[in-house]
Amino acid sequence: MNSPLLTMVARILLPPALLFAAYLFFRGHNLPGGGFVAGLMTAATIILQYVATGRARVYAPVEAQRLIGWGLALAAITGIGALMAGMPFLTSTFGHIEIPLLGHFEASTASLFDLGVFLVVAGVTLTILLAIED
Amino acid sequence: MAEWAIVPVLWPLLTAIVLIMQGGTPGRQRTISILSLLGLIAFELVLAASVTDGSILVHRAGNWRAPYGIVLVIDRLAIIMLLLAGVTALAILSYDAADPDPVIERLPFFFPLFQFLMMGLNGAFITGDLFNLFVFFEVLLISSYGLVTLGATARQLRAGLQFMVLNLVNSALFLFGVGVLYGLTGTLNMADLAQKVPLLPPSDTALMQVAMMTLLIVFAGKAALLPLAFWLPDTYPTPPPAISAMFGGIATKVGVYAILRVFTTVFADVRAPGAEVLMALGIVSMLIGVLGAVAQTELRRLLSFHIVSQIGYLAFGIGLFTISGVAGALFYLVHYTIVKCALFLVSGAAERLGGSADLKKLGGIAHLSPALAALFFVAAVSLAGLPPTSGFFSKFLVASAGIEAGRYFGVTICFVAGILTLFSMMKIWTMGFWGDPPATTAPAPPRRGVLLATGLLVSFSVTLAVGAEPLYQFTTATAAQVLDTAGYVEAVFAPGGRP
Repeated sequence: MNSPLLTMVARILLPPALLFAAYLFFRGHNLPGGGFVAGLMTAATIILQYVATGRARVYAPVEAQRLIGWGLALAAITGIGALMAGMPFLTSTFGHIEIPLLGHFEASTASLFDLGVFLVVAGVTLTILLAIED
Repeated sequence: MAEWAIVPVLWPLLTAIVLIMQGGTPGRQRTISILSLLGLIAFELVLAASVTDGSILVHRAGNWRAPYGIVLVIDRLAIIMLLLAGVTALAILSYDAADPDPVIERLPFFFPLFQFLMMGLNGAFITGDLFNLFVFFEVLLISSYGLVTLGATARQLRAGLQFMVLNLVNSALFLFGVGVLYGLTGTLNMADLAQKVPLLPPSDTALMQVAMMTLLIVFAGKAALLPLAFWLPDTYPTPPPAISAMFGGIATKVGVYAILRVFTTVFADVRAPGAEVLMALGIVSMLIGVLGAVAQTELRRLLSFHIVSQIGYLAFGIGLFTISGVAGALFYLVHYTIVKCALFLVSGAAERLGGSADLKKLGGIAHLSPALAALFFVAAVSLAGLPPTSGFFSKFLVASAGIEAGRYFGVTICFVAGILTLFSMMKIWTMGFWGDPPATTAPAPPRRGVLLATGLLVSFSVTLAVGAEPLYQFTTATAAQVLDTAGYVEAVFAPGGRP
């Protein structure tokens, strides 16, 4: 599609949309949100770029299908980590970390699992939508 | 051992991840799949060694205590199902390795899908949570949708759409049933439900009955009991033979397994009306399924109708809910999974050899490949239940359990359906295997690996006949364990895990 208006809007929207996806992701640990919606949001953002500028001009460092594999692997490995530590599958643990300027955070292994979910959802959505676009 | 009880689910998942990540040629994907399956079966044998004495392995995912977290439970029944799934999958992949199907060669994502199918099967067999069962059903179904339509011919898409719509409705009903139960009791753990369902006040009994019948319908639809079986003969013959064999061999049994598991835990004390319905459905399926088979002339479609009939025997045996009934049905299940899978593989090879799936155009397979014909003969006789095959013992056990319980009508139908099964097998034999080969075919006898993979299954079925006594003892012990709801509840609620 060749519409200067859409191209412009897509370009402006890209950073806030991705930031919002990141916000959803981190919020999801204790509140509604999480890897699933963040993945959908990210995929939607990227699809908007594709639609606005055409596939050739979007820089894609990885194939969407690969994301599914990486995401599944990350989620599975998080669970298996617990097994290796002698605990049942998916037992989560957490600690507290201090990040300068941003303050106090709670970091848990459940977030890693969520990151896996994020990658899978983003990968699947992109794969399906790009297949339809073709 | 309990901490490793999750492995039958994780192993196929990890294999699927590796297969997705590395891509590569179908050959490499196949090698990885087969090696992974060998590892899985070896591990399941180790698990089997620790549950044969009657102990129950309970894995608390996330280390949460029973009614709060999800538990995975491996008992004798679960290990039988896990091993059956592993063995059939191995035979199917070896068959495909020996004679690669052109469709699978062209679309190598068959292999990751196959692993996800295994994951869904194994998960459904070991989960101790009703909602988790639903989730594994979905894993199984979503990969099935992909496998049924692999190749995307018009016929497959038509059957696939039907299969998908039916299963979506089924899933919605499943969710509805589970939701009602959750609303009544506030729990989804099967052991916890087993304790809470009998204590429901009389005002809630009607609603609980609704949930029970809904779940029965869902599982009966998955297991292809009449009148919910009409999707099966359309769907199963359309994909490549290896996929048909997997569905016909083991995927349909998930429904049977779920009925057995749920009716011996959740509804253990209130199952009487459900059991009556189950037996009635079983009797109808036995007869109508085989009558449908007699009328068919397409090889794998005929075999698909037989699935409906055979599932009827299982439902009849399980519906008795006596130790001998369940033990007979489990024996039947082991025998029939192996034999059915072998028959689908043989007919796949015969179709390839004769160049047609239609019995009217086939002929003289016995001339073209005597070995294939011999394998078919043994498997077919076994399915029909002639002595001294494993099929004879299975039918005998189910029928004698029926007589014990005074169900003479059902037993009569068992015998009538058995005779009709024999008749339809003779039809395949005379039309497909005897006579002169059609002049148009350019016969290339099946590769040795094809015969080896099917031969493995057939010899397994012969072993079952010779070793009927030990297996029957094991299935009897399994039936006793399955019917002992208190033992299951006790194992799940054993101390351990985070509160």
